[in-house]
Amino acid sequence: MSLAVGFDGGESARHALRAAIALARDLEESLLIVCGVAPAGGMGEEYDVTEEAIVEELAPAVNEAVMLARDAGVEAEAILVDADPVGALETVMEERNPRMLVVGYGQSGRIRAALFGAVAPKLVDRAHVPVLVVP
Amino acid sequence: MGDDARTTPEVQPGLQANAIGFVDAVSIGLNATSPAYSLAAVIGPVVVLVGVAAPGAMLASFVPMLLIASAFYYLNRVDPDCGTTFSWVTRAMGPWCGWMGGWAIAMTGVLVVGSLADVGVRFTLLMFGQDNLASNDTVVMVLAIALIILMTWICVIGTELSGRLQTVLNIAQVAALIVFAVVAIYQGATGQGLPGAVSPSLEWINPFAAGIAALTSALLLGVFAYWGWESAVNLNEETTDSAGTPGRAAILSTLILLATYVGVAVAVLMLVGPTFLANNAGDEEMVFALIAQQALGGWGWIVLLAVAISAVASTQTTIIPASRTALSMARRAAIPAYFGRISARHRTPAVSTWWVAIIAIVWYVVVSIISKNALFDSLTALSLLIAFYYSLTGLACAIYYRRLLFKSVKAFVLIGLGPVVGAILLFWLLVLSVIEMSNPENSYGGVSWFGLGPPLVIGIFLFVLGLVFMVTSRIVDTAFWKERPSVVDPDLVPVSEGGDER
Repeated sequence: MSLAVGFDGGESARHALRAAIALARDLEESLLIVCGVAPAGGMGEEYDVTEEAIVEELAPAVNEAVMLARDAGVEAEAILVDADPVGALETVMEERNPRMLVVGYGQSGRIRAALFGAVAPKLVDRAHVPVLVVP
Repeated sequence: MGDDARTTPEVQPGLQANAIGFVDAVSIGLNATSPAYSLAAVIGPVVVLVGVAAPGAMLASFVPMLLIASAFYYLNRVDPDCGTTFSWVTRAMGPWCGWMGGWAIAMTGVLVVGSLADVGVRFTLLMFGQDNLASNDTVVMVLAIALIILMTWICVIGTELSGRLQTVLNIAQVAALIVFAVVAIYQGATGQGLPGAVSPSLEWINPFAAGIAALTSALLLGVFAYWGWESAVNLNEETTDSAGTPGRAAILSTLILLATYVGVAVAVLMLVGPTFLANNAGDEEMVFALIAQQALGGWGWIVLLAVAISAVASTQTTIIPASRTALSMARRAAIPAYFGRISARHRTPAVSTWWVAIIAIVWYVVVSIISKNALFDSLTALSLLIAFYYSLTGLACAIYYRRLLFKSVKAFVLIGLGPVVGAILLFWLLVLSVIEMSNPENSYGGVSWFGLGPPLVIGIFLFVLGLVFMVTSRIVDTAFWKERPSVVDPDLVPVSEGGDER
């Protein structure tokens, strides 16, 4: 069994990552570090090139996250999914069956959340495993 | 496990969470053409140019678009990278042609965004009854710039309107236009039209009724109106919820689009006639608003709202291809790598998006100041660019597939003959337009710069600028210039179309 944490390299994702690592260590579970890398704006028009660029940009942060987990004694794996962050966590939830999803929550206020597409609310709607929101 | 944490894992496919339904598929086809905005922008000038031949012109301009859409379809099918004209043309015809194709796409983003914001702001003001403000060019320009910045920011942070909402907006937009057309035609037919309104005759379907010079300009505007339609044919079975959906949806969205464009052209003629438009030619954007209010009276705001929303939403469908093409060019070293920088958090090509917007704002301000018919000039110049890169795409398709064209009739017609004829038609339109606009007597509204029509001057300026940048890039001799043309991999093409795919 494992925990899955949504990660995009940002501040709130790092908070979530630290919490997830601590939890995984205490529960003696492995950690799946999940990134949604699909370009915003939909299919077509140089989609794959844009996605490559996104993956390249995220790679250092993702590798650092994996190292951080392993240094804490947690078995960790990075999973990149061709989807938006919510879709990525959904995919991992279906395919790897983690016991819990962990996400950050950086956006304050309903409007900012709607504009910036806050992951946590949407995920709670669609998840069928517990979701841990790290503020 | 033995895996090195330094190597980046492969990207896994996501769940096909929401396969697109039929209605959404139809809406996607309409979305990219922005019918309400396109009509508001072109119907006035088209009727002024060719009078009663306007319906015929709208029909005729569809023909090359149909043929080129076939090229987009087939190039998209065998392109594992979901490219645009830039990658396809580079792959088929080499770096020189590819570079100019990419440049043309990037410039379409720059040219159109100002006009979109301008129309969006004006029609919103009109909708709220602020006619004085809507005619105040300075106020409109300031608001339009604010709108451009807002829409660009939304693109950069990657906000995506829910698919449902987009569908509702698109269908509502077309419904508003159809309601307008039906009411206007009814009023015209029952004698409630303005003096100068004309009764329909078969002559209206003949695009040549008003002469060649006027027709080429009208056809260019028609090309602009249909621009983006090829996205209707780019859906495939994997994205939709059943096998027959993409084809049927494409056909339906096409018929709806044609009916709407021709219908509105007929309605405008029957309700107000060419003379009304000629008298109001200086106000080309607002003309459509006037006509809508004429037909629908107090309900005219429905059409105004449709146009405003269409214009604002259209910023997404025009900025994104331009900025992603720039990203692709930067990553292949065709332009400096700086333009390829993205925002990983928002998963968007942030740098190129902001640059398209900045240049678009500067362009919008400069052209508004120096041109009397700024909207017409920009859109006509834009159409020259569209005709250019569409015809390149048509050629690229036939050239890329050249080894397979003679293996089946279907392949020859759909992948070879169709796109090449489309490319020739558009190129002929381009050449003819250049010739006509070189004659100062033919200029729209009697304006000419250096003895040439303003759109031609804009077009030449952009083309030469592109050449300069391209040659600079060539002198620097980046890796991009080592790319060589190739042909399509037969394993990616079904047997029925001449390939080897089993």
